[in-house]
Amino acid sequence: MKALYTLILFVALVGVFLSSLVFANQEPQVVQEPVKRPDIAKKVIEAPLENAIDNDTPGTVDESALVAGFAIPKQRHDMSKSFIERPIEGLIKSVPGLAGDADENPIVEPGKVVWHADFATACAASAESGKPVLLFQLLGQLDHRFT
Amino acid sequence: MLFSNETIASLINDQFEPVWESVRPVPQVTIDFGIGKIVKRTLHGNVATYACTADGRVIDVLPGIYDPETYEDELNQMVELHHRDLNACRSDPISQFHRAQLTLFADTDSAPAVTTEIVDTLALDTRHNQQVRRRAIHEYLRDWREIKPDEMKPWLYREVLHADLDDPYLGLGHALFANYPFAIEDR
Repeated sequence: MKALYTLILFVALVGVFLSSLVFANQEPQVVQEPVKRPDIAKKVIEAPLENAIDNDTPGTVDESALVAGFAIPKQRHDMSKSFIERPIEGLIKSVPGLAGDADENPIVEPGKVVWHADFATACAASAESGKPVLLFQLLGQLDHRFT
Repeated sequence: MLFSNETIASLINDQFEPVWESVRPVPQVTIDFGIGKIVKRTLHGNVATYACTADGRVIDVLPGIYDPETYEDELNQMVELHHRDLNACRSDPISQFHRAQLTLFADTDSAPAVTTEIVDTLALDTRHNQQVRRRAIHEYLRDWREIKPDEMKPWLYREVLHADLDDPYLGLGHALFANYPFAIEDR
């Protein structure tokens, strides 16, 4: 009889041991509720720039709008690149003398002065008229556009 | 252009025997934008206006560019100086004139120098030419009594206008090449 009780106890212990081995690698399944994170999107943190700038006084900042930070954005203006930057082709054409070929250096009128052909001629004329010679020296040509 | 100014052109045509000459080709900068547009500009233009006698002697020089009003005043002064030279017997009005001008510079040494208050480039050039370059002209012509334009030209462009005609880079070599980053590697 005593041996029977011992056998039953042994079987019970073995059962407990085996069951602990089976459930040892299984984590308890806990169903978690999804975390409700605060909305920290950029548009919420930063006050819309359109509302922060006082349109009546360019360059000033409306601090109340910055503090509030949640003002309803106004309708955005179309500020595409082509609107901000003038087309370079048009810019060049609009500046006199910027367009043209590399070899272009047209002959122009050298002012309204009536020039002698050379210094010797001017000196000869000076001897007759009694006027001083005015010699204008320059790098380049006076009758060329780019001198 | 200054010579398109009616007042200046009339004064020159009435009171002078005018002539212009090129001392050398002017350096030009060309920028090719690659879209069929090319910008062309001069890099270092400089001018000088000489007043000379019939035998080719220099009596005065205006270095650089001037605004029309100052240029007109200086031209009238040249006419008067030439008139005195023509009528001088034993005196030397040219040397006397330049000596007198230098004494005026001495009196105005304490005057404010050229400042950035003048935003007009032509006015700034005029003032610099009158205060700095013109003084060098007076010092030069005070001692030279019979100098011709061709004899004075090398000194004028090198020392006064800072465009040395004997230098192929007109004195701009340092500005053009000093900051070239591969100068040592290219040696």
